Amino acid sequence: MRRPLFVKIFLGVCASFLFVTYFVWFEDSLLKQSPSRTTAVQAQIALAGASSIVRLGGEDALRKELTTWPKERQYMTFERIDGKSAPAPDPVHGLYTATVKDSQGRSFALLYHVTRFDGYVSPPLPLDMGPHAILGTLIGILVFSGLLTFYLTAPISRIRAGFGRLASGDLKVRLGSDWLRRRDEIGDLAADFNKMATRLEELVMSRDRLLADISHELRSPLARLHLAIALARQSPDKALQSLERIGCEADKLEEMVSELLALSKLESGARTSDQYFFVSEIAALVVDDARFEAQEKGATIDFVTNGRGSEALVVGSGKLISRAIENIVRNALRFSRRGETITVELDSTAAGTTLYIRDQGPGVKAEQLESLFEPFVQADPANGQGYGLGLAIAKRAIVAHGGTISAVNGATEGLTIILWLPAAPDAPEAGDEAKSVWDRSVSPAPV
Amino acid sequence: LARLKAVLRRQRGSQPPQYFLAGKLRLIPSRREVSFDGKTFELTTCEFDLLEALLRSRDTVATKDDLSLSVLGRRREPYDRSIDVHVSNLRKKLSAISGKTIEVETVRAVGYRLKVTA
Repeated sequence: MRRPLFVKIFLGVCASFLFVTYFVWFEDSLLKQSPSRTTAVQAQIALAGASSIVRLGGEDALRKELTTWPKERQYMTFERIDGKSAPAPDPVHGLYTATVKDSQGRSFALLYHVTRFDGYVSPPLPLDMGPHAILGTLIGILVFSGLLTFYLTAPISRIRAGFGRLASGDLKVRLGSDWLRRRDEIGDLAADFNKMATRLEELVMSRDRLLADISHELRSPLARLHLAIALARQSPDKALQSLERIGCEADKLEEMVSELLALSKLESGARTSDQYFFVSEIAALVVDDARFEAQEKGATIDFVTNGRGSEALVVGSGKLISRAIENIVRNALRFSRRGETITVELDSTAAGTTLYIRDQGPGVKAEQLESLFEPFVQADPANGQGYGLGLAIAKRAIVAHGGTISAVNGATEGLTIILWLPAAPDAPEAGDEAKSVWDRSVSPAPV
Repeated sequence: LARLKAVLRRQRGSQPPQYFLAGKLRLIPSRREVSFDGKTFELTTCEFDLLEALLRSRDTVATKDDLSLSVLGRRREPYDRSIDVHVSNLRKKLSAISGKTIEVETVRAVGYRLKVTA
């Protein structure tokens, strides 16, 4: 098996350990050496010479003599110590001392302090540490580097194996829980891998389910088409009636396909356009349209706006938002009976716009609230209208604009859909300057 | 009437101006350069096109529908506020650089017009 990463890390760790060990040993053996014998001899000679100068000529003579010494070797100092004892010599740190009396009986301490290694210290020979030390160090380094490298690379190969299985189509693969106990980046990586695998599995499964649903939904109008054609063949006198039926089914098919197209466009995250708009104006247009339908059914639609003065602009595709709101309102309308009221309520803040669409219909079972926005999910399939795509499209449109959508059952009756859209980040705030722009006098009348 | 039409046609066919002037404001479409009192300043693509369209329409009101078509390249939906947003941004930049001598006037419910004072 090819293990380039293992080899690389192993060699790197080995090399750095070797270097550090050798360097520490080298420094240590340098520090342990006292200034060599030659230094000591030199110091004794210098101290003896200085002593005789002081004895014969006094301190002035020594001071004069010292000025003639080379500048870089000014190791000699002296001081008067009447009665006191001279500092103790410390050869390890290069300090040599002597005491002397001059002709007048004054005593002096002479200090000869070698403050730097004058090249008199011999550096240790390479590998001059004895075979046991070398062997021990090498084994230690090899074992430790090997362990460290294994600790780093082993999980990578295991994660790689996981990726391999995922790539070959095994979507159920997850990394074991012993990974998740690791509280380091590798543990995070494993957790991320599991998250990714879960998401992939969800996506693939939902795609498969969607495909199955689509074919199922397409099949029933097609079956009815076939039926109508067969009927027309059997009894040509009813051909006109059958043709009408065929046209009707074809329309249904077309409508469904276009809905599906819209859904898939949103699903693939097609970039929404850069229109600026007020949700309240779109909602007003949609409500105006829907009122015609409501009239027919004998239901009414109330439209309430709160805080319209501070409404923030939303950026994106007005068409999509309009469609989303329309789908929700139509859905509410479908479940409304004569005399019932749908309330569309709008709350505006500078951060975004919230829209509530309440109906007085039968509501939805609690366990269905979550899945209501999935494609082809219908709260009441027996209702016979629609394909369960409207709310799915609405959800994707809202999410594509960075908003949220949710459904809750009313306290006593009906269903409320709540959608929220964030304010456009770069739109001018509705300040004094901007107010004249918004020109609220233009009521968005139905066109 | 035929004479009038001919004159109009000739006028339309005449060479378009090399640059537009409004007060101390000068806009050169070919170089995509706009300056006030000799100092050039920056506008976004949309704002530049918008200013050019406003200068082109001179004293007549540029309707929002026309602006949407010529600046954004799309027909305006009744809820579309994009032109208003761009006008607002342009207005801020113009008043900052020109000290309120050049303003974009709102013509209620119709559109916008460039107003030059001094």
